[in-house]
Amino acid sequence: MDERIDDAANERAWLRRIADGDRSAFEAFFRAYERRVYRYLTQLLADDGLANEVASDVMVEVWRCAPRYAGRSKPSTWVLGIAHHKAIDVLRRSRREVFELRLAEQIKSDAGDPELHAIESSTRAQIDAALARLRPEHRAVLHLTFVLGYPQADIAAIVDCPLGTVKTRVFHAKRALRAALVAAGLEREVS
Amino acid sequence: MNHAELERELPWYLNATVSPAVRDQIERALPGCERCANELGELRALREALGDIEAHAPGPSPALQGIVMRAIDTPAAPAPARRVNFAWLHSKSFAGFGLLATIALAGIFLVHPVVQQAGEVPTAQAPVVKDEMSVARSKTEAGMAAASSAHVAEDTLAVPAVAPAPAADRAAKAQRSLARTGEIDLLVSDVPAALNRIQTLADTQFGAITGLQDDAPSAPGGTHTAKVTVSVPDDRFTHTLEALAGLGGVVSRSVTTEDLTDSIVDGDARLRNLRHEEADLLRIMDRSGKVEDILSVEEQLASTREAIEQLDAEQKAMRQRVAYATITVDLSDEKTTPVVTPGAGSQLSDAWQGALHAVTACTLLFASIVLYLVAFAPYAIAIALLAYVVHRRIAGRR
Repeated sequence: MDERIDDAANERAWLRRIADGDRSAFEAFFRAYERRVYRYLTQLLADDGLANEVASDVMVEVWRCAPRYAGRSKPSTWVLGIAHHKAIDVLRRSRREVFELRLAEQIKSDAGDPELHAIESSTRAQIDAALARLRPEHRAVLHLTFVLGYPQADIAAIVDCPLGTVKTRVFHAKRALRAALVAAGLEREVS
Repeated sequence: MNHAELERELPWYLNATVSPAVRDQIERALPGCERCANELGELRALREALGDIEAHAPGPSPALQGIVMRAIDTPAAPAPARRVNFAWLHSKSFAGFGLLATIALAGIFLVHPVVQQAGEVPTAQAPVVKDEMSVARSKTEAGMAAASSAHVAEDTLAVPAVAPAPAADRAAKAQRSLARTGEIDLLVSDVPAALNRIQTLADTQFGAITGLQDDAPSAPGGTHTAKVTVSVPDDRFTHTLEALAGLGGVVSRSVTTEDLTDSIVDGDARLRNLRHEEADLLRIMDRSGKVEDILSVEEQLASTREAIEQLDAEQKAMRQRVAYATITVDLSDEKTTPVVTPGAGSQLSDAWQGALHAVTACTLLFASIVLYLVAFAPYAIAIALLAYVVHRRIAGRR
């Protein structure tokens, strides 16, 4: 049996079997999604222990809610959507700041900006440190876009916001990352 | 689609998820736009960097699958009734929130038995995810062992060699949350030297001396004793105890173990419950419009937070006791302080000093008697006169 979880049809088949109480299907699903869910939660929560805790809640919810999965969205979108909502709930509970980005902000031209090549010229460690300074929802959209390579519609479904907001968040996330890199001391390197 | 809009599509152009129409527009615009070309280059670099970070990032805890598989085997408990019930809670818009709260509360009861089962499963599946001390310990275990070896090698006080903690010790520990305390009574040839060696031993075992009472003898014939309390990471308890036993003759040795598993699991469940309650109250406060409702929720929120802080502190203290074992070492010197026989000069001097003290005391006694007699003289004279008068009268009658 093909256990590749990337195939949406296979994923749906897994979920149908899980809905019927098939433990082996759930174990395969778990192995396929374990890291993806955990890494996404790490982006949002910035806490490995908490990410593990919420990841276990997400997987238990997948098992219990599989019968209610209607198939309207991709299984990967559905699972990461559960993870997103649980993480946001935890963040709100712990009174961490979650900001709604302002959509109407004017995009200023970056032409001739010395910060332009900051991301290009930085190292992994510098980007890693700069990412830690971003807001959780910024890290989340960067992860979904550049690491998982999801299309806009899937990201919008996962983070539960309109398409336009997704684009704006990625734009602002990239700009915040660039600013964090410059603040970390890349001015000399890029100038 | 204008230029700014196209620029915002570039991340998804890069991961090839834009529509063909957008892709064509971008590909037409790119050759003539330096800014877009630069932006695309930067996005490409960002994708590579994030991919690199992801490739090196650690995965979830190995215990995660065991926790989840046990959780799904546990039937869901019914959610308890909510304590706060304002009129607006019955509104349609709040139905979704009610459902979420019910799921969250059911989750509490699911996790509780899952964690309780932890003590009955192999180490690989033990739910160490939430145990900060255990996680921190496992992360630093390798480095600590290396550092320990180096430290022992440099030790000039010849502290007994300490082997790494045995796997069985760690396995037993992972299954139950045990707080261990040990007591050892030692006879040593040199108490100060033994104290130094205990200090070095504590350092090499990544522990610390948390208490010290050193009683040097104050009189000839006394014994030098000391009481030291050593705190060491729990997985190094056995070896530390063995190393301490090698410092001298063991008079007595005892180990006490307190099982805190149930207390910690219960505390975790109660803490989780309280945090859910706090979250619910916060949500209610956000939605409530009436001042009296807000005040009421605030009062409950303050009470809940106080309980959370208290319980959290208790849980941390218990985990600290589990993570670090305490060993009390009673040291006694094998030999007593020698009694020195004084010389003849010293004895004569002592005798002369004694005689002087005796003369002084005797003189003071006589002086005191004279003073008493002087003080009581009027009474004595009066009595003598009375006796004389009585005697004369009796003699005159005859």
